Amino acid sequence: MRTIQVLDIDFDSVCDELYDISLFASGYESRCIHIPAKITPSMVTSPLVFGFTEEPHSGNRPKNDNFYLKQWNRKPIPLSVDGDKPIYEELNRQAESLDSPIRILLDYSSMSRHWYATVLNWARFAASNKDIIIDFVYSMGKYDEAKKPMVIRSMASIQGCEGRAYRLRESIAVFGLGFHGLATLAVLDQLEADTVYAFLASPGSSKKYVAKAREINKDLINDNRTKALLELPLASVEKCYRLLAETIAPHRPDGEITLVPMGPKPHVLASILIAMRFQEVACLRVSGAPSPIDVRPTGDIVATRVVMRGESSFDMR
Amino acid sequence: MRHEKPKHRRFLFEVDNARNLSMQELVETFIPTQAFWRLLSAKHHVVLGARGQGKTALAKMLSHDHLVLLSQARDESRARSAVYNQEFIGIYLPTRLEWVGGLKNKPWLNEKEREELFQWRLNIAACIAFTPIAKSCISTYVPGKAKQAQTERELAHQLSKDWIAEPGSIFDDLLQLRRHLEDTDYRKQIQILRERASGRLPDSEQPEGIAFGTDLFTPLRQGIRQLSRILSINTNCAWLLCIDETEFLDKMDHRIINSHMRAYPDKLFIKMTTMPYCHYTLATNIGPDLVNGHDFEYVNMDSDRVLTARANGETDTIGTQFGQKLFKKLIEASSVQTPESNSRPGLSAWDVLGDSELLDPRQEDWTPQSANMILLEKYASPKTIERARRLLGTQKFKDEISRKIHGALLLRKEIDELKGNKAPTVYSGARMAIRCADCNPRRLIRIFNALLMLRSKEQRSFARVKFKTWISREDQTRAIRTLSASTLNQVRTLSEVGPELHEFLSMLGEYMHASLYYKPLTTDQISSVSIDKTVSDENWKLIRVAIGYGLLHPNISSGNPDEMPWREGTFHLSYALAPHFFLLPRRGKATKLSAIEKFHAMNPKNKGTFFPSEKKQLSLLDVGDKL
Repeated sequence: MRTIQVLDIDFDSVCDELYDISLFASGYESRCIHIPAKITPSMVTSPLVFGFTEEPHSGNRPKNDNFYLKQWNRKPIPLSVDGDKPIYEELNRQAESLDSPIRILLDYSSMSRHWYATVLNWARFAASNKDIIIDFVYSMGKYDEAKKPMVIRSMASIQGCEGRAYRLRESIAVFGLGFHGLATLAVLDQLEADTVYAFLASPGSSKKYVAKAREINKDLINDNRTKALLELPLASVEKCYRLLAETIAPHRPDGEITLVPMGPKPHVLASILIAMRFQEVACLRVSGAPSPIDVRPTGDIVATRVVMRGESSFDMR
Repeated sequence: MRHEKPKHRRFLFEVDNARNLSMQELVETFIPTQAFWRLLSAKHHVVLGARGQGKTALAKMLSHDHLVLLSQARDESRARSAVYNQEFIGIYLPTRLEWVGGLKNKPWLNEKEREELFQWRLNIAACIAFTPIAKSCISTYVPGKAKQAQTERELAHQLSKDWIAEPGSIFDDLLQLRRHLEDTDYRKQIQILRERASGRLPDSEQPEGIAFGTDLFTPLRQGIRQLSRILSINTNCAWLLCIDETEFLDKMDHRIINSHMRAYPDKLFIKMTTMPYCHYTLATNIGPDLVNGHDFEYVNMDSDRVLTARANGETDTIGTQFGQKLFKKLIEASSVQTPESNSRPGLSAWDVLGDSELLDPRQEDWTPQSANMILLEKYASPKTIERARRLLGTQKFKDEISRKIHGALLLRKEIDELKGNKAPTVYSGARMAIRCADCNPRRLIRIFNALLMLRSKEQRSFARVKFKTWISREDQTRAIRTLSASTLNQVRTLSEVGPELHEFLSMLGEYMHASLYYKPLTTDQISSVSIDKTVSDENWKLIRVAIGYGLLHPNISSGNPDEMPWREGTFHLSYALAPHFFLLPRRGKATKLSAIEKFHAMNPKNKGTFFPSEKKQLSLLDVGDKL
């Protein structure tokens, strides 16, 4: 089993780094290209751009595709929100000629969580003989329109985060709260956990969003099974990772722990990393029907370095 | 067998799911239903029940460890005989969302690979589920701790050899063996993912858990054989494998379980629980389909007589007996136990919540100038008034008029008189709480809890409270209406059909509201919808899902005993939704779905003229604004 180290870094240091591979997404959100526009293409040896096959003409998609073609000289590789094969194939192909450590830049601002979990799984299993450093970057977003209630399309474990679905002790559900209060309650209803923890992004991308997330999720927050509401900073995946690990620690190893991140992506990333770190912890992905609403960048960027060590050690910073 | 009581007794009204109860708590609060005793038999069964209907409680209670405790704690001769004559040994196997999540996240597997993975995982899950049951059997049938430990060691050694291919993996106790199996399941997941990520596995690498990649339940049968041999279990013992929550599985998975039911009529019997219309197929992998009544039987929990029984002498109070019993059991098994509380006669839901203004039978004054007659003349149709006058003073008046119309008259009056800050009180009382639960135990516990939560923790400490003025009718009504609204609201998020189903149920509720408030009353109120074979596929799907979630119920009667109607029949709106729409929670007449749709499609102005009315009534929104 590879060790996972999670560190907060500055976006400025990302801009000074050289990367072997980068992964970007092209979809309908305008923030898709916020970070790629700030990075000099010469910093990356092999840039990869994946374009959602769902809603291929909605919102800013044509503009984003055009940007990648002009700026990065890449036409997006079509990939469904649930797809993974092209990611594994591209990474395996690139990695053959690369020495350890392999440095990867991944912008997950508008990416399917399945895609960035795939990159992490590749690092865990396919490139296990090499040190891998992945710099995750995330552009915080502004939501102009009210989100419609999410209609749950499917609930399944994120790959590599299946946990141990056999209960010896109590079941614990840890919910990351976002703006889908009813959907979160529906998941709680299905999970039927004994004990619930909730966390939300605070400080978040704006004060308004923190209050909104509290209001939307007040039923879950006030549920008699909810033992604690954690306020985890949106800007620090390292801190989220540590605090989530501390929260679930009393329930390990026999509790059946399920993380359900329904909030912002840095919290999703922290949850996935926790489930990859502890084999008894599962991380669920709750998918809704697509609702192409634009998300514009606020300008703030969260950068996180995930290090998966091989045989040799090295300086991570 | 030693069963430790929980250190702190919990307030069990807060735990509405059997999954979250300890064995002790479940046994203490369990009310055996008809279905429960029916399942204690050497037959394959598919148990159908809406969410919250008690399927998990039933399946868990069939398992050997729970049945042992039940036979010790209660005077239940059937349970005692099942355990001590070794007639039945039950194994509880949940297929929860978390477990199924590890099957559904591999979209790249082809059908054959997906089937093999399901079979492998169900095999190992069945063996994991078997280990605590084996321990329970050893504790029950082997005398003395030393001998028990020796027997467990012998069994663990034997099962290690049978189930684990790696040489040297021999475990001394069943818990260690269980942990190893859980790790094997985890390693299997990782192995599949490694193969996906790398494109292939090293040639030298063996598949994880080879012993489980065999016919369904073969490893479990081997475990049963070994345990039976070591403990000399009665050769006629029927082993009951209770597979819970199979609505989360796919059609393909059901087909595999069906194949087992079709092919193996021996000593391992499947008890599979799922939601109505969620036994997705009768197909098997071995030719002919399953035949209901021959290969297996359906057990429908939604019409279980224990759940729906009326209390003695009451004519219109479905489910009250169960509601009363459950309340009493929860009180007894809950938090505060003092000498004072033990000596007090059992507290009932009526002590805490009082009577229902609308539903409790009472002596009513129906003399010509009485308040009731004035109401009748104000709200009833001319025909009904004429009939009432004709029958006044006879038994027929009571049976055909007053009993049927009184609740609706009171409801109309209350809603008509809502002004300013005046809060409604009609959805209060024990009988109303029980009725709004639709004979659904989880819903019932939620309603009781919501009502009890209106009091502080101290007041809920039953030893200290005077119960005369417990919870006001206004507070009860507010709490029940809030639950009702949230029951409807949550429908929006159901997978695939959420928004459509929400709109469909709202359409039914609004029509029923309109027919109650826009129209002169008769002795029949509309609370059901009827469909025939012309129903669209979309609407039929919505109706099926609504039944699965207990939001619509087939109207079953002696004249219409079909518990699972298909594309035709009448269905009443769940009583849980009645408070939200200000309806009377009582089964009434049905209207055709097409008529309801026609009304729904009208603009508000035309809706007002849809029903003949002598007086403009409140609209649903007007009522909402007042609360």
